[in-house]
Amino acid sequence: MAVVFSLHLPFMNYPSQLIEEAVNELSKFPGIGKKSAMRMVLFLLKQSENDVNKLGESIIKLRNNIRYCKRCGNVSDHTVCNICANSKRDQHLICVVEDLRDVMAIENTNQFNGTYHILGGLISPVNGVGPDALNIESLIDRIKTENTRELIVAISATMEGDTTVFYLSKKLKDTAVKISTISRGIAIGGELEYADEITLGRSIALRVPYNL
Amino acid sequence: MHLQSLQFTQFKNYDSAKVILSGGVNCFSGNNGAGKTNILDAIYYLSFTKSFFNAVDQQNILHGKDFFTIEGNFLNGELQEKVRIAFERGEKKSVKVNNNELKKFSEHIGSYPLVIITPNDIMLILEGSEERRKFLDGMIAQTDKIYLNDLLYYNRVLEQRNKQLKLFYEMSFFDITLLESLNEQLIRFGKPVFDKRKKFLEEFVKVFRKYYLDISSSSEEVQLQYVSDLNEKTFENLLDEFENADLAAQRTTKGVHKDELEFLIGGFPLKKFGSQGQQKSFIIALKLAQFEYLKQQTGIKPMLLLDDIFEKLDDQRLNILLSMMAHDAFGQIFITDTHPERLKSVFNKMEKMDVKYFSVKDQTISEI
Repeated sequence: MAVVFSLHLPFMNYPSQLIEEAVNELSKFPGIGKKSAMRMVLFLLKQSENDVNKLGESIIKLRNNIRYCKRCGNVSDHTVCNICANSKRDQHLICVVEDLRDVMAIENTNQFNGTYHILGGLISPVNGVGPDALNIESLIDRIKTENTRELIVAISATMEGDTTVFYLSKKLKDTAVKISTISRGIAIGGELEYADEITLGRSIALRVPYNL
Repeated sequence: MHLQSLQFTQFKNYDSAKVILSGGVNCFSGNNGAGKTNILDAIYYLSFTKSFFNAVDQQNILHGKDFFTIEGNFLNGELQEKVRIAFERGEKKSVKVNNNELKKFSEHIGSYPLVIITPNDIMLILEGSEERRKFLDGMIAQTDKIYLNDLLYYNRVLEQRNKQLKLFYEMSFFDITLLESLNEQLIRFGKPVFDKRKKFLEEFVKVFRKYYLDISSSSEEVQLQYVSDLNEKTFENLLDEFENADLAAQRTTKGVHKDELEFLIGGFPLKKFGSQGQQKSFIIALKLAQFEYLKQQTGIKPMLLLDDIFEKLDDQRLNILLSMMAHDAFGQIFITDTHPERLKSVFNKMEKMDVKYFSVKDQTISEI
């Protein structure tokens, strides 16, 4: 018989099967260990039955009713998300991002009036993420059928990000779409001496003309 | 720039130790196994954020303990700078400069230039090409942070590409665009690594030859030959040409990770054709050339760590080193030796020098 060692030390003896089950489920959250899960369970037990039911229902509703926009992959309450359905937004301009958080960040700037496309990750063979695991095919289809004018790639300046951007641009080279990437460099209000050398070096190499 | 004081806790065989150092020569004497070399390694940590001898931080903690700390106070011109390294089992290593946590250790490399000469250096000649690439990279990285960054990225892309080649094989599919995307990244970081290694060696070999002549007082021609796949063809062409070979091997067969730095004497490999004396002269000349190069590039005399060199060097080579010391060629020096008398007899002759002697015994370091 193989002996399995538990990594969760110290071994916990739960007074109730119900508590053990709840702790096991809650400790599946990122950043939540068994101890934190136990605190959450004790907190829940102190709440009114009504409050706990509301929490449970909202989680079940979230999972059962959540839908993704069939056009851009954004989280949506309808088959097409509010952004895609908004006729005031430029429907021929697409901003490609990694996930939902990036959409929220760009929306908060109030500077972008086009639509989005959410990849759902970045290409990283080591982590088992290939192009087929991402919403890349749907983006290519979309650009071809929607007559997209410009694609703005807003993806992190990491190695995986750059590989993904390169893959995308290769895949799109036969289409007429104009591809641009968000600019990278010195932060606004940032002082040069505090910029790291890689960023500063790249900013100098990729300097932009100054127009009066 | 020099290290004014050094203290460490639960590092290697020490429970805790503190030394106030000389800006000139610091001599550590004690029996074998007393922990002299560990003092040098602590200094190496402050400069490179890792050990020279053992890359696994965990194994540098005192047996039975959970963490180690190393702290050094540097005087840089008029400025006091405190570097503190802490590592706890199961935690991330922490490096603080003036109490500011460093996000990227690679940014720290080169801030406190250092050259170490140890009996282990002979491995440079005897071991495989990886040792020599590491030595080469270490020299360039100390003065060029973008090089270090490119190299780290290159290795990460290489890992991704190798994994993808494996996946193509295992899952029986092929995506040319995906491979090209990874190639593009590999070229983007590999090309500057190649260019910088080549340019560096062109300059470095001249300094190296000068030192070799000084040390060996002989006229054999020595050469550092940079051998790279990229010497003959562009990286793009190589990756193209060897695409099928890479797919079959399930790894990247060409690139700067295959570079070799050949040590030649009279046109022949030093490892096979060099005498022991020639090999030693070769190594010392390499290290002194490294010192000279760092000094030129940074404008700072690097710290020089000499581990057990009296034991390993013959009188002729040693005298050359000592006369360089007497002529103020070096900055701060750290020397270990088993015989305190030998150290004293050597340095008592050099009156101008500020020398401190320490005895290392029973896990304590005391000034004598």
